[in-house]
Amino acid sequence: MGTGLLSASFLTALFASGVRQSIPLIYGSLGDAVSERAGVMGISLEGEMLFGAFFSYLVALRTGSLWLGVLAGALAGMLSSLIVAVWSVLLRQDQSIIGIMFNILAVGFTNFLNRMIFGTSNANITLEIFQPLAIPGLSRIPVIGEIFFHQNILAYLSVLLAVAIFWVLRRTKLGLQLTAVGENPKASQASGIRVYRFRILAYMFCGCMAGIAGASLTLGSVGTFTEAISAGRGFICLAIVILSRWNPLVAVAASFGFGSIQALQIRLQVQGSPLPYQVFVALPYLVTILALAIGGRNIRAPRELGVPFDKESR
Amino acid sequence: MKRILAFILALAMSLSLLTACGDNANKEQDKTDLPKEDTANDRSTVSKIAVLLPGSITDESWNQTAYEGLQTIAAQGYETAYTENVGSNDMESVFRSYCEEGYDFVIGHGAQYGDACCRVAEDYPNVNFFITGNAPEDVPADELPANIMFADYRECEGAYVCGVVAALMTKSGKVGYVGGGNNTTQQSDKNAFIDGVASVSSEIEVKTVITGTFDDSALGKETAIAMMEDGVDVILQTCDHTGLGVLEACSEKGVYCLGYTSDQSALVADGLCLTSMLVDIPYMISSQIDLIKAGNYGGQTFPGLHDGVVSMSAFSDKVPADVAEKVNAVIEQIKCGEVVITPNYSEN
Amino acid sequence: MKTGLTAHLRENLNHYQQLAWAKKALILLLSVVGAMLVGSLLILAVNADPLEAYYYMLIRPLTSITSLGEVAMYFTPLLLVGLGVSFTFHAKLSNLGGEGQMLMGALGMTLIGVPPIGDKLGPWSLLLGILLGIVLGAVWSAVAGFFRVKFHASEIVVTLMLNYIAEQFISYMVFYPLRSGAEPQSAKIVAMLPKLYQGSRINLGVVIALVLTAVYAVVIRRTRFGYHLRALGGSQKAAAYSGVDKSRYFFLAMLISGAFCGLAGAVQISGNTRRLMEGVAGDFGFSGIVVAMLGSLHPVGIVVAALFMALISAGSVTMQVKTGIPVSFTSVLEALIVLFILLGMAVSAAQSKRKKVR
Repeated sequence: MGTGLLSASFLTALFASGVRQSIPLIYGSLGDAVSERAGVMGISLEGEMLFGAFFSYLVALRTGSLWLGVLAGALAGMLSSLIVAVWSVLLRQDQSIIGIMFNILAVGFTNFLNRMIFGTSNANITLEIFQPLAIPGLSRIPVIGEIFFHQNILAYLSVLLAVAIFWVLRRTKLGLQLTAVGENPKASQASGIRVYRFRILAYMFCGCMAGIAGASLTLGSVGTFTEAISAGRGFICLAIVILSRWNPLVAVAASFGFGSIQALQIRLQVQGSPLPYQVFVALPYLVTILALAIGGRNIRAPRELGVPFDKESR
Repeated sequence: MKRILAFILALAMSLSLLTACGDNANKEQDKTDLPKEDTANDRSTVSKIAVLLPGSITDESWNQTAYEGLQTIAAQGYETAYTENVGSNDMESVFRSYCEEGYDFVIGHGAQYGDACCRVAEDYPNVNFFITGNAPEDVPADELPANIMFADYRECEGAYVCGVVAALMTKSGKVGYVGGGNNTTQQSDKNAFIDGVASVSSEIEVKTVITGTFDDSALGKETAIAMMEDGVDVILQTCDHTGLGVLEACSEKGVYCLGYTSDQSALVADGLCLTSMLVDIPYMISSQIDLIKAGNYGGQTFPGLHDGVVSMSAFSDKVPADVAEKVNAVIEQIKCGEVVITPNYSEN
Repeated sequence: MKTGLTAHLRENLNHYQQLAWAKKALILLLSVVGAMLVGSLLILAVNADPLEAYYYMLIRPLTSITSLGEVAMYFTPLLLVGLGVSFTFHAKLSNLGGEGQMLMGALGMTLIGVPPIGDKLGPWSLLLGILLGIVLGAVWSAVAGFFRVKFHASEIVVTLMLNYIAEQFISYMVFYPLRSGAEPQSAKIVAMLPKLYQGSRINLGVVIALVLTAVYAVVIRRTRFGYHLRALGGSQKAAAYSGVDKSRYFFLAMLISGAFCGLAGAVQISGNTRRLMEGVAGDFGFSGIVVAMLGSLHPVGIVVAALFMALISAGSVTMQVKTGIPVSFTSVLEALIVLFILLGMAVSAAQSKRKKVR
């Protein structure tokens, strides 16, 4: 039963699946990393992903273009995040409360829209999803090639984005200002940085990423919208961001780790295991907590993360 | 701090006092609530029908078919209502609300509603109840309220037949089952599927995965892919939304699959959906109305293949004639009682 | 130095919390009305009558003892969880783990309440079960507290993860060790909370919850612990200067919060479902947060908020039956109310600041 577990073909398939499952996680955690650097937590990721998933499916269906769908998803995520952004930054209310309520609103609203537009049955309107794109040359490397270079275009884009974000955060004035806003908004404001603007824009970027993450679920995986398709991935992104110390590149690796655990969980069940299935379902979450415990000693969050900033206060 | 401790101690003491006298009151109250002997006339009219659904009506299987059944009934002129996503903390409240609003036939769509239904049924002896599932097994049959009908329908018979189909159609010798959760129906489906496969050949391996959710289609898809990588070439799914993902994967990779609760062949390309195990929930529900009108409604029934409540959809064109013949023979055996599939709720 | 600090502290306390309660109540009322107005638009969109809908949702459940009992079924856990998360919110901690802590509390009640232990202890199984439920809830929350204090890991993330883990653990328990009969549910517990009135499900849980509201009020307003807790929420730096051990208070706050949620879980089993099964915590974990927020952490406010939310939940089926509006409208309405209240709070804070400057 366990003989196939360490074979190249099993591991290749496992990690390839891990990459696939990590795509929404990567987008989500990239967005959240940026937003948290600026001091706003992405608790509403889950809801924004749902909006992105729904609208990307709707637009792709109506226009026949997957890319327009992705764009629509990004826009939907971004616009819906505006609500959260305004309330947490401008109105300075508690971010976790708004986030949670927004998520509840998103589920109800997307379900409502889904039924209104598609009735109770849209499962047979499946789209032709993004196909895997083999990168010439690289995809022929044994094992690694099949795992990493045989994925759909959203996967490649996500990694490029991660690199771009990393560079912006470390090397550009914009990135440094963003970090300053999260660390010491008072000093930043005093030195002329528009804290509110930065935070809102950072949060909208997060919403945009979350929207793409949702789009990757409908347009890159299942091909249709099913209710509550995000299934808790938004929350896992929050954990990934902490584990990766708000570093976009590490976030990609962590997302890959999570995706692989999910892939592993399934395959362990397929192989047959005396353990009750609940252990497998709980595995990603247990691993998160463990990782937080082990790697958690030197976690330094942006100092003012989650703290509403008051422009007027001295 | 001391004040708080004092407070808590006082609370605890009063709690224990109240507990002591309160509980005796409870016990006596329970005794007087035994089901009374009902006069058939009180319960033989039906005008308002309600259904409690565990999930949402867009799942293309379990919940949606109940919804469709309700629509059929509504078309016959009855007043109907339904509530979706009724979880374990809501069930008793929702049952009681419908009863209070004058509904005289209330359906709990799933065995998990059985326990709450028993309590509610005792308080509303003039309302008819129906549970699509087995009765709570730790309650002796004579203590079950008389106004509940438990339809311990043998969905597992359909799963058994699916096992036979899978075993006959597999070329790789590996077949798979994807389930959503752990209620009794799902468990009996899984075990019956395994038995059905074994009845054809003991060499065929059955891979099973319980995804833990009925709502994650992306996970369903990945699960199916994982199975296929292991060599599985026929998959049965019984998990609503998650199952849709499984079907999607099969469609994409050209792997055989089996549908659940409704004919899902339209969802999959090229006749890959060999057959679907159908539960005629609309019929199960609407046929109750006639039974209610006849009076003396209640008890347990065991619908299955034999009365058409459970059936198999037409085979797809991928199923060769000799396989179809063998499967049909098995179906006949089950129908006439030659082969008996008893629901097996154990975990392996 | 001292005057500077206290001024600093006072300024940093949410302006809103300093408003007279009458004004606060007015804002809350206006917000609820505003949300209901927007909700009316949605109701009209599905061709129903808003007045009728709100009547059935809010008034109708109050009209009979039986339906009041159903309201109580929602009211008690909402109030308890609302109180629990309010403790942590005072210290600006976000306990999002209400669901997991409720589940563990329910487990505690079940472990003691079912045969054979339940039989041996008889009526005492109720009290002991509740106590164990409180302990388990507190422990579950303490894990998150520990992670926050020791590793500075956001309690938001840890409590959320613990929710998922608790769900799976309970699923395992009702499927294997505790399973009674074929269904994945435990056996019936032996002793239930005594009912307060024949013909209705309203039980002692309501009384317990109200008593604990009083406890909450006393602890928060009149004890040193409560004062420091609120100070921590105001300004952590100031609290550090005044000799408060941040870590200890954070941890205690999480502990107490979990205890309340655990109690809510125990009450669910001993007052509502009688058996442990998946989903007994419903969405009280999050709704409780809405209750805390709606009540702006004030004891009376929390009670009123819990009652309001309970009415919405209990009346939703009646509303659906009479007007055809789907039950999911309830959650949309909840979300709208929260948004409006947040708006109201923010607007009033901005207003009062402007007044001060002038």
